[in-house]
Amino acid sequence: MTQLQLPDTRQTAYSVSEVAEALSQAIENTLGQVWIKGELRELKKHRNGHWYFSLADEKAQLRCVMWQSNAQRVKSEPADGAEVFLLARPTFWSGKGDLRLTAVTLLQSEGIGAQQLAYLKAREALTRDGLFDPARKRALPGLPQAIALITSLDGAALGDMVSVARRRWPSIRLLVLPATVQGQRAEGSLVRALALLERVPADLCVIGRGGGAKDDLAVFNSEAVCRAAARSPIPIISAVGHETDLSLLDEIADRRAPTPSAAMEMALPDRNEVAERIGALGIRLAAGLRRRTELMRERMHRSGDRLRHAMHDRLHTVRVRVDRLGAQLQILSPLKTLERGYAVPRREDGTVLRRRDQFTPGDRFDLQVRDGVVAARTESP
Amino acid sequence: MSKSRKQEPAASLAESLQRLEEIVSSLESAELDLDDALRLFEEGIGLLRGARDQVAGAEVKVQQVLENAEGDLQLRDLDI
Repeated sequence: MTQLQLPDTRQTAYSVSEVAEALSQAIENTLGQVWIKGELRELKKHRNGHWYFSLADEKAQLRCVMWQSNAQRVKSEPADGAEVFLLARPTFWSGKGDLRLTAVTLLQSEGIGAQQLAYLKAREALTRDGLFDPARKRALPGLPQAIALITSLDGAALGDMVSVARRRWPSIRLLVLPATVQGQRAEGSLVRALALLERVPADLCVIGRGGGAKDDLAVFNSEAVCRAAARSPIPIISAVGHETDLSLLDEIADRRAPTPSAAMEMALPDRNEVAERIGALGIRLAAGLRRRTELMRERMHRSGDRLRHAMHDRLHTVRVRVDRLGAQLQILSPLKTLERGYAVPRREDGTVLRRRDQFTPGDRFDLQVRDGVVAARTESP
Repeated sequence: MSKSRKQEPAASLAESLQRLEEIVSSLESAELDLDDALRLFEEGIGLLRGARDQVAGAEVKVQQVLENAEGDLQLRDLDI
């Protein structure tokens, strides 16, 4: 039997606790909380809700624990061998001499893990700064004069947007701020274009891009792009071609549209509706003046001869002026239409009744005809 | 944006329509004397004509915004 080798007596021996404490300090201070990518193995769910499992790659394996409060936030239970991203803190449990990862968040990567991770980080930062607050959303201008379009000069989106403008509201001015909307340069390009919004005389901005592969849209989840959009002095409609998933830009923007064309429909009034509104105002304007002059005439009839004489000249001047203005008014289409024998039914508030369902039996309405207004009532719908 | 500043912007259509609504309401309800009524009517005719032109006329104007080396913005008409 060989003699037991004694420890070097010149060196003081550490206690187990001291070494364990030093390890614990070293481990916890070196890494802190980090994202770790790996394969999940041997998940055991304890009945008190805590999860115990291993995270492994080709060369190494680490044991993990996820407490019940965090485990319950994991959306779906990962299968054995699934690739996951774990936000965890390495912890040395001195009582058992165990090194464990204490997991806070578990995400299943399904191949897009890195993007998902970047997305979550950006979302967290933007949320912290209150940029998703619904109170930040601005209303769109009802009748814009100029719209800034941030889009690619080459894509179909620009042509689509111009077509909608031609059909819906041709008096609009479109200011195109060209931007690369996919690939490596897209982020910087979009940020630069968004920064120009402070210097461009537009009432509204549409960020437009046609549909495409989901990967191509990653730039619209960029924190820098979202922050640039949030700084815009004018409302923004995001139309970046997502069918199902909302991008962060969609959430930051004041409005979101499924396609660039839909964004323009949202941004622009329909010229037919506005023309009708103008026509109705023309009719009411003419009717209003007619009522005034009729009132004046009645008052004169009631007055004595002397006053009648004095008013005669006054009325003559007025009539000449009215005739002249009336002739101008004739040029405006709704009146010409009335001249041809059409009549316009209106509610008391001036609403033009166009459809059958706007008439209710017994309801009173005004019928505007060539020379005045007739009180009318609906007999049957 | 030197190019756009030279053009004095006309009253916007939204402003014109709002003023027209006011005029029509006054004519319909307020106790106006004939002179005031006529003045309002005349203003209304002018606004109507302007509004109608804005809706009916005009071609969509498409311009590209370019930033030159000095950082100034310029506009170039785009043919789309």
